[in-house]
Amino acid sequence: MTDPTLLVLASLADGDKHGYAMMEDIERFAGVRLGPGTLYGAITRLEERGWIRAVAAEDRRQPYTITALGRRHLEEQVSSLNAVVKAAQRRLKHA
Amino acid sequence: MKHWVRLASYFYPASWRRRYARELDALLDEADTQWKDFFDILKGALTMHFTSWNFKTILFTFAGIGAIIAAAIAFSIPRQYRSMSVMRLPGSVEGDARIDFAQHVNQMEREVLSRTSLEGLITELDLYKRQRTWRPGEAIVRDMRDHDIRIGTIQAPGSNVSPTAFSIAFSYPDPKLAQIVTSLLVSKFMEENEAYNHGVFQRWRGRDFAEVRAQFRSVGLLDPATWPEQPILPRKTQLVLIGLFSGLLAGLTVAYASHWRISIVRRPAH
Repeated sequence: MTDPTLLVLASLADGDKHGYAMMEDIERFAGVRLGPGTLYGAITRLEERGWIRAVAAEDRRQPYTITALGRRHLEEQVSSLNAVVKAAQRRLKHA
Repeated sequence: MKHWVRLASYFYPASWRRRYARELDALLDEADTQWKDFFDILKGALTMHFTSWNFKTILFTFAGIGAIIAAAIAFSIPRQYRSMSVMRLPGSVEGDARIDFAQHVNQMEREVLSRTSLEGLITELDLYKRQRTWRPGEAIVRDMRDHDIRIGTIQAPGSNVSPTAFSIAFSYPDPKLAQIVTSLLVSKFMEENEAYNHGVFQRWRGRDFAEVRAQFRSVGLLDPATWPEQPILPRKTQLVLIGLFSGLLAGLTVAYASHWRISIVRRPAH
């Protein structure tokens, strides 16, 4: 899973985060370092789709939260990925 | 490094910067930036431009960029001048004699364009000076023979017999040297032909004169090496047009790709 939008949604699934916190979190759980341009490209697209939204900021760092629509999309994507993973594992066992 | 990455972030569209610049700056302050982040930001900025531009803007911007790049290439390619000379073949040759004569021309061509012959010219006139500092002599001779020297037969209009003349041309960045080399190649052809005829005379003794005459080859100069007034390369207009159309094509692809992306972004919520 290297799609930046999915990585951002997965990062926000366990709580609100600002850009730098997302970068750190994604690197920790997915082993992928998103560049600032890629991260903000994903944030822009996700905000336009209504899957995340900005929440009140205390300083220059802008935290984001995942919306209900975003959570539903993430769930769909994860279940679809799960199906692929299960099918691949099954096939590897029988190969 | 951080300075360059921050500088790259100014390439984002103004509307995007109004919304996100402050928080991106905050991220850059905290993050340990690398060189690849500079390119990542540039790529991100370009993507934002494409998605905010309309179809026409993308198309014309790409066409303009294509034309500018092609023009830069066209002006950086060194000019090439071509000098040409024409040599006459004997009247109309038919039947076996035609094949024999073609073989004679091929034989002369092999001698004139041999490695020893061309290496002699290169050294004598100090040709391909820069290339000789880093390329092997063999490769330079091969390129000279295969790309810079052109030998072709010329047939009289409406004639269905053998060619009546053949041309020798040489292309080089210096018009004066192009003309000199062409003249020298012509001289070498004449020398080869004379050497052949000399051989025929040597073998003549005690034979029928008509038989010897049939073997004698007469090659003469029709047009001496021309002075190349205009360069043949680069074809600037052609290159700029290619750049323009390639840019249009790339613009069309990007415009459709970004349109497709926008339509996904704005699809109704389900």
